[in-house]
Parts: sequence; structure tokens; C-alpha cells
Amino acid sequence: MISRWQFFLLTINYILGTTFFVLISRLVKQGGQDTWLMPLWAGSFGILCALFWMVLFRWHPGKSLPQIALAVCGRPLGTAMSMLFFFYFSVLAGWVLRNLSDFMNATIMPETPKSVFHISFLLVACYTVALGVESVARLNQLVTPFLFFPFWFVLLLAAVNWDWNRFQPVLASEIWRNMLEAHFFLGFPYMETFAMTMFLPLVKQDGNRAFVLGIATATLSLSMTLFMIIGLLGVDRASRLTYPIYIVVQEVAIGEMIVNIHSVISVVLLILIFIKLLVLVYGAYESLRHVFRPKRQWPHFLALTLLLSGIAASIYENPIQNGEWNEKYTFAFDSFFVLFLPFLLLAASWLRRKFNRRNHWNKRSAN
Amino acid sequence: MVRRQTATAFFILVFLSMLLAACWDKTELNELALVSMIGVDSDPESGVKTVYFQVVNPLSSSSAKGPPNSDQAPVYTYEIKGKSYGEMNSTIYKVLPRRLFIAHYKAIIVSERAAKQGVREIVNFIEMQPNGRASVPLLISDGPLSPFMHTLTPLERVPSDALDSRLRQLTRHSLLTGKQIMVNNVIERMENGETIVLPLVTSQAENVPADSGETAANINAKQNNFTIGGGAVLQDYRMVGRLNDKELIWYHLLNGEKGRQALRFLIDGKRTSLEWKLVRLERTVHWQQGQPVVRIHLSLKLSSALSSEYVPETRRKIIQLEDQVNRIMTDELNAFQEKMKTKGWDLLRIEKLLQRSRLPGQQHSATTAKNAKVVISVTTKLSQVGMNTPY
Repeated sequence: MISRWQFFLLTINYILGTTFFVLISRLVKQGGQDTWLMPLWAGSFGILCALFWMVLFRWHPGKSLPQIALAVCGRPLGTAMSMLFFFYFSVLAGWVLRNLSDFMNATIMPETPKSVFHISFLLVACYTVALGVESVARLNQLVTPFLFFPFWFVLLLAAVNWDWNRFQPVLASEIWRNMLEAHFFLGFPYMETFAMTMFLPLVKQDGNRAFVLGIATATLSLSMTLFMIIGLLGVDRASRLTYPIYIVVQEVAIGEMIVNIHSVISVVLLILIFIKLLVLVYGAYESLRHVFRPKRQWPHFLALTLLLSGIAASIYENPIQNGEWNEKYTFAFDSFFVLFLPFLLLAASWLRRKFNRRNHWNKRSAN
Repeated sequence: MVRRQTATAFFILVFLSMLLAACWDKTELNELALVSMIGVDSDPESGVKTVYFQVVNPLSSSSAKGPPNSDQAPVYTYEIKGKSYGEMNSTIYKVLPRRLFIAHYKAIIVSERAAKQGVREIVNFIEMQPNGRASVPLLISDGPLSPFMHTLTPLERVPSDALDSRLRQLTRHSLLTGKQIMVNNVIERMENGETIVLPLVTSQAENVPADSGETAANINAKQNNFTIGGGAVLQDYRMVGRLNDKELIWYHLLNGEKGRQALRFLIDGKRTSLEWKLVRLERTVHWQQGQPVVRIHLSLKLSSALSSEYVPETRRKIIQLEDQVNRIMTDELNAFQEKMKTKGWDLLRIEKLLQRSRLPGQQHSATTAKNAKVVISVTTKLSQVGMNTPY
């Protein structure tokens, strides 16, 4: 069992994870100088999604997602549905890994083979997940201060390059229309928070409020980061650079000696991404475990490592492809797994409940 | 049993050490060619580009213990030609025995003829490389680039240090250079459609000595040195003209740079050097009969600390002096603005200002910006006095 505070921190770091890597420049391209408003809108949608999932979990207290699927749909159908969730978490995990190795290859380690990053991250992630949910939550709790303070500290150091003119003209970029066009932002990262529901039944007392607050805090954090990126880099540069946050920090110079402090930001981003990976590996492994109830853990973990590193190596060919997929299909892809399937589960449990009640009533009248 | 566990633990530890991929592509410091300054030239006729890399010579480092090795040059300039900048990343190794490392370079200089063709390609190339920082000053060389790249500077051993620190001194103690001359500023302001001014550097080298020892032994700092002076005007990534020192001062003043600047004024028939500093710059737009009127008001702080010729002694005299300075500067600034307008350079960023302060119902177009009337006014306050009564 984990505490509400741990769950809250985990939610935040999960959402920020790859968003900082992949999405910033794309968002700025869409929203121009008013981009910082976009997370607020997408975040409220994320909270709506979370509320929807909570209804499902409230109907089945204490049960995890695959357990609900098994209980509601029966063994064969429930297994199939759990496997769909497993597939979803695995694909996301593969994606995250690939984003990570892309970043590493493009910035600090251009010659390291991608699979080295994939496998080393996976081994550590599997080890953590094998020790149970507490170790995942505790690890995250432990590293959060080391992410939060350095991140904002280096961004504040960069604030010497601040220019308010970069925000002008305010609210002139047709932000509302742009937000609707950027529907991929709803899918990634907000609809992906579905993986966090794997932890929901494991939170002491009730994790619902922590979940919603976590999404809200991450949203504010994203909005503030975008605000700083625009104030520091300007729309033109931020929308063209691949990793704007990295560049912001790269251009900080403290005196004459310290000119390269961007490794700080790299480490922060790497750890954030690792946490996202942890949650997804946890989700994938738990979906397997609840269905197949293995006696030994390690064969599953080994298979998972092989599968995920395979997915990561082949999921897309280059970041351009990734961006195009994001723009066109993310929303639909995510909707199937996080809106349609839970909706099916909800509908099925409603039917079952109704059916049971009638059965009960019939039995009674027969007596 | 215990031994087996130890063996397993040991084995796992050894296995885990393979995961330490961080050093997989490590390079020793003495395998790197640390670039301190980059020069870019491009021949407009043949399209052949030349890049100069000034590589720091670690053996002559002044920070190393012991006496500096004065018979070695502090930097070596490598020159490479090619059709594209990307290609040169490979062909440089025809002459360079170490890995090119450009993450710490301090300045980039573009030759005048390359700047006239456009610096867009150059800044794009810098931005694309993950280890090439865009926060370094971009300068234009007055005349050919080659002598400049082969000039050693006195006092600072590495020419890029000399350049970097001189630019810093100039922004602080004069208005001859502004702060917005980094590659990233250039990109941002060019994308905004602004006209900007970058510093020009001129090489004074007549006969370049073969080694740094000869330079070090020469007392005349002006010989075999380079100077920063004048400004290159850039529009849409292309150099379109130049400003002289006086025009540079007015340009930077009207763009809100806060450096100090001393200038000679004719007060009461006497030439007097007064130092001044910008306190406030206000820019407002009014509309008169569908025509925009831009008012630029400058508040300056005067100091007579450098004026050995004339110091006002009474309050009335001070007011007189301030009035005269106001009038002279207003005239000069208006004349500067008129001159730039006839050249078609929007150096005061009037168009951006008009775009931003568009009133409802007012149509904005490039012509309204051209027709905009600009009124500049100056008020000064004498706030610092060096010596009350000169001898």
C-alpha cells in the first residue's frame, strides 16, 4: 500500500515525464505566445477522464483493472481485455524508452547504441517493480526533491534572458481554435494517466483526490514551464528547436567558467522519464500477473524486458514519424483504450448488477 | 553456501558494470581540438565556403603551472574549404589531428562578403548542432576575414577571450555595442522582421609575425591587433549597410541600451565632454487623422565627471547646460531617425510598435509604418559632478 502523498507525487512526475521531451516545441508551434494556456484546457479534460475512471473503480472497490475485467466479463473475455491493457501499457513503455534514447543520442551521447539505454533502463525498472508497489512509490518520493529544485533552479538561472516582449501581442494567436487542433495534447500526456489507475486501489484510504490534485499540479507545472520557455526563447526559436528546455539551459552562462550546466537538465529529464517507465512497466507486469498468477516472477520480467526493448527499437523510425503519429492518431488510439474499454467495463458491470438484482428478486419470489 | 552467494553477488556486480554505458564514447581532453572562435567566409562567385577554426593550444596555456611557453602560439587557426558547412565536419580531418569540439567556442565572425550574401545558412547550421551554442556573439569582419583570423591579441592570450571581454567592456562603458548581438538574438529578431546592427571588427595587422613571442615582445598594442568599431546593418539575415560610431551611439540609445557614453557638446562656445546614461525610454503611439505619430521620450542622467573643460557653477547655469544638451541631442536623434528612414531601415522598431498598439478600426500596413511620424524628445538631469571648479 502507498500513501496519498506518494501517489500524488507519482502522478505529477508521470505526466511531466516525456512531455518535456517531446511536446514542448510542437505545442509552441500550435499556440504561439499564448501556449501556456493550452495545458490548462487539456488538464481539465484530463481531470474529467480521471473522474470517469474513478466511477469504475468506485463500483469495484479494492479491485485492480485486470481484476475488474475478469470479474465483470468472465475468464475468457476478461483475459482478452486485460491483454489489451497490457498491450497498451507495453506500447506506451516502448514509446517512452525510444523517446529517451532519441534524446540521449541527439544531445550528449551520439554514439551509444539505442538498445543500451533501453535495456539498462528496463533492467532497473523491472528490478524496482519486482520489489512491489511500495518501492516504486518510495523511489519516486525520494527523487522528487532532486528533480524539482534543480529544474526550477536552472530555469531561474536562465531568467537573465527573459523578455516580456516575447508574449506580445497577448491572446492574439486564436488560441481557442489552436487548442482544438492540438487534440493530441489531450491524449498525450493526459489520457495516458490511465496507467496511474493501476495504483489507485493500492492507495491507503482513498487516492481519488490525490489523483485529481496530481493532474492539476502537473498541469500548472507544465503551464509554468511553457511560460518560461516562451519568455526565455521566444516563439520562433522554441517552435523550431527539438529540445527547447535543453537549449534554454544550454545558453545559461554563470560568469566565464560555468557555461555548460545543461547536464543538470538532462539528468532531471532522464529521471522523470524513468519514473514514467516505472509506472508503465508496473502496469504491464501487473496486468499479466493478475491474469496468469505466475509462481515465479523472473520469467515474466525477462520476457517483458525483451518485448519492451523490441518495441522501443522498432516503434518508429525517426522523431519526425513520431511527431506525425502524435498529431494524427494519438487521440484516437488513446481513446480506444482509456475511454472505450473502461466504458465497456462500466456498461458490463451495470448490466451485471441489474441482472443479478433481478435474479435475486426472482429467486425470492420463487421461494 | 556463503561462498556461493558471494560468488553470485560478485558475478552480478561485474555484469552490472557493463551497464555503465556513460563512458562508452568518451574522449580524453587531449584528444579534443577545443575551438575558441569560428570564422566563416563565402566566395560569392564560386560559392566556395571557408571556415576558420581557432583551436586552443593547450601547451601554451597561461593557467598551467610554470612559465608560459611563449614560443608557442596560444591558438592555431585551421582553415577548411568546401561547398557546405555540414560537409566540412568531415573534411576538416584532412588537416586536424584531433576531434573537433565546438561546445565552448566564444565568438563567431562572418566576413563582410558572406554577410552580404546572408547569414541564414550559418545560423541554421549552428542551431542544428546539439553541441553548438547559439549564445555567442556574431560579428562581421570589415574587409577580408583571413588576416583577422591570423591576428594574435596582446594582454589576452586567446583572441576570442580578447574579443569577448572587449565586447563586455564596450557594452558597459559605451553605447558602441549593444547586448543583443548573440546568434540567438539575431535569429529571434530576424524572424520578427526587425532590422538589427551587429558590431564590425577590423584587423590592424599589417605584417603578421610568425610566432606569438614576437607579438608579445611588441609594445605597440595597436599594431597586429584588431579593433571593434562601426556596425553592420542586417535585414532578413543579410547585411545591407553600415553605421558609423556616432550613428551606433544613437541607435543603441534609441533601443534602450543602458551603457554609459561620453560625448563632446558645444556649450557656451566651449567643447565639453559629458558622460550620460539612459534612465528611461518611453515610446507611445497616437493617431492623428488616420496617421500614426510615434513619440519617443528619453530621460538621461548626465555626469560632468569627465568634463575638464567646463563645469557649471550655479543652478541657473546647470539648467542652461541641460537645456542645451537636450536641444543638441534632440536634433541629432531626429536627424539620425530621418536618415535611417530615407535608407528604409526600421532601426527603431517602429513597425513592431505600431503592430502592437493597433487601435480598433485602424488598418495596419507596411505603408502606415513608413508614413509614421516620429517625434523624439530628450530631457537630461545633471546628477553627478566630478570636480566643482576646474583649475
